[in-house]
Amino acid sequence: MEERKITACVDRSPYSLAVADCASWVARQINAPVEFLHAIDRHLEQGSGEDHSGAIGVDAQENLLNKLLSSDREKTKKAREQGRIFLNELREHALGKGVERADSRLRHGPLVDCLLELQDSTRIAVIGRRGETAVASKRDIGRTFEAAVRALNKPVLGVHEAFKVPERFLFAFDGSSVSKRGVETVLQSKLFAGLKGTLLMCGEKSGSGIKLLEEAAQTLTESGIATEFSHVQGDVVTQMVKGLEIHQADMLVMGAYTHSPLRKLIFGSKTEDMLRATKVPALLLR
Amino acid sequence: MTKNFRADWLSNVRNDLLAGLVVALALIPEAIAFSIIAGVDPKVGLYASFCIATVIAFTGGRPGMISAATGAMALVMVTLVKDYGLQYLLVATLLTGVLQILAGVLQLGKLMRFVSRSVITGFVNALAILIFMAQLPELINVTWHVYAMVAAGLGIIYLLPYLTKAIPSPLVAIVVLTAFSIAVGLDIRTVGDMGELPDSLPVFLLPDVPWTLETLKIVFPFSLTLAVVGLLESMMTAQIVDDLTDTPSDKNRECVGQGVSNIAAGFLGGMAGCAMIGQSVINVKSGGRGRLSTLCAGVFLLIMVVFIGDYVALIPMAALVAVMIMVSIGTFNWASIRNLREHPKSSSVVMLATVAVTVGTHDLAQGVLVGVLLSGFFFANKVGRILRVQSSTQDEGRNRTYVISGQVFFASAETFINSFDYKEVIDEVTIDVSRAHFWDITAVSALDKVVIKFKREGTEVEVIGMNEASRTLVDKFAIHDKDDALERMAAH
Repeated sequence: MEERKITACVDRSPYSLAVADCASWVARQINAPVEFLHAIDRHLEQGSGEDHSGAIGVDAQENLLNKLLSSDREKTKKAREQGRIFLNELREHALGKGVERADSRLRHGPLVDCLLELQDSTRIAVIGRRGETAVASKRDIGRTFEAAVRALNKPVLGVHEAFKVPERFLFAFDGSSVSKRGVETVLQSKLFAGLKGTLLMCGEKSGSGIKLLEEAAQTLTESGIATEFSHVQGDVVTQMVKGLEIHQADMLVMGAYTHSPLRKLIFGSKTEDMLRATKVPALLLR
Repeated sequence: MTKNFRADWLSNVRNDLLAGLVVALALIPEAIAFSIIAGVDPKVGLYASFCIATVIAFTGGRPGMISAATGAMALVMVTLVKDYGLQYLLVATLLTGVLQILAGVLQLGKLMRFVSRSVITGFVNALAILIFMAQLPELINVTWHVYAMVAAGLGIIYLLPYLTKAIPSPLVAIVVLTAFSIAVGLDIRTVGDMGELPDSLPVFLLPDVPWTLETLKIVFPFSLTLAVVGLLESMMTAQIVDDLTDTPSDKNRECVGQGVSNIAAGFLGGMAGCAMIGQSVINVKSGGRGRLSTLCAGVFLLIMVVFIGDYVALIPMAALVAVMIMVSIGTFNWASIRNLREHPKSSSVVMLATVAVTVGTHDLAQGVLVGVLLSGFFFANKVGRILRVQSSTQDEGRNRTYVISGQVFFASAETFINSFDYKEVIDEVTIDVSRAHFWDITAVSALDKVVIKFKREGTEVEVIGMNEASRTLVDKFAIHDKDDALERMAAH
């Protein structure tokens, strides 16, 4: 089987450099190749509305097809050349950061579809929390980002505009199965080698919860990742943001989007609130 | 689900709204014209167009496609309306919807693959010719004013886009011609002369007919034809929109959607409709891609008709005729005329036969049926020619071995039987069929005949390879079970 890669999703937004830096760091930590993925989306769901004449003449259908074809072709050709140059710059940037193996891939279609198709050869995906369109629409968390996290069953590392090599991580622990699997992930991954961590649990104090927390912290420490633990009460998001400051953590690990999009529409999403409130890289586990 | 919702409805809002408006403006004259073809009041077509476009926006399988009252469907209902009246048409519309839903559930959309490209071209051309012919009553026995108006209308429609593409030129043509005829006081026919226009929103109504088996017997044949014609045109149009926008569609959902919208139309006093090739092309051309464009077309249409209905009545028929001639020119596949010389004769015959039968019977379903049957015959004939028989003598002239390779079925059985020399005086004949395919019972009985003929002449016959040859006899090949089945078929 092909070696699984770190898929670094980049578009022509200010986030791409941070994504490249972050992916380079991950590559050095877990010694895996990086692949920069750039998707050229023709936005087939959008039309171009210059002709409102409403008149159809001889060979109307054929002429329209030819017109649409040539405009699409034109656009893709331009995007292809730009994308290639842009990807190559990032690849060289990563190589300059000490990454041994970096490659690039330019694909057609929406990013999420591309990611899903490449899922089997992906170990971890690195994505900017906002992209080209989100920057323009002033959206805090890009739609593509959420869609990607929801669609993939791989860990996603969401980065903010600037990336700094993290030294200490904060693990949002809630005793759930996602949390427990998260601890496993941290244990098995070389990603956290050399980092110190804090397990932070938020909610009503309960004996079994604290016990789980303590056990988890101990397992991590025993395997070489020095981990503290702490329990707080109050609103999860506020406490986590505070926790980041108190423990001077510069990376967040948490389960993400466990609820349906419909529930999100009504109650909002804790994941999104947390991502909005913090600026450190966040490793999202599903 | 939310992803699809967003992609289908909200990803192209501005263009969808504008395109919907352009389409609504073009739909009004068409709906009126098709009502007149069907022999009902313009309001029946207008309500149908509103209702079908609005409902199909939600239920259809092809975002960006426009469905409404259509010429193809109107032509089918003429006799029903003439003999039994509007109420029976409404019942037929409801039943059409039910049949279409059934077709969708049974996934009959797949049958479209038997409709060849030539048949589709024939369908489209026949439709264009019929739409044009339906305008002729407005052009015969009229004063020269009408011809001048139509010519002026066509002039505006085709020349205005060179000046500006921001406003729909058919609309400008209608407005200018209407204003001119009122100003000059021309005594020519107007839309108001053709029947009742809507003055209110449509209301839910049960058709006023005896709900008996007798009624069902009357409407069923019409409903069946309507359902078939509606689905044919809708599937073709969906394919056209697929190609234009480079996006896929859900054909079975489209079948069900067409059914649901026709049922809705029937209950609101509208006639049956289906997807429209011309309008869908106009929609895509104007930038419409999402479901919103179809919805807007329906809603704008109703708003305009209800609120400016008084002015609609003043539109001269000549202006409508100009618009309909444009639709017919835009729908006709002109390339098919150029292609007549280049394409194989059999394809051209299929296309022309489809056109001829449709124009002759005014029934697109019959035209397509003839086209499909003809293409089947031509195909069988072609494949039937793939049959080779080689023979050589063995055993110092005592034995002759015939080696058969190719396709043996009803179309080639005759050739197969005639490939043997029964008059040859020989002790023994070996027929090796291991490299032939026996597709049907006709093939097997043909081989029996050959054996009997030889036996009559006192020749011993041995058939070898029958198992391999008759593997194709089974209706369902177990190709999925045996991975090498395809290779084996190709090999022998």
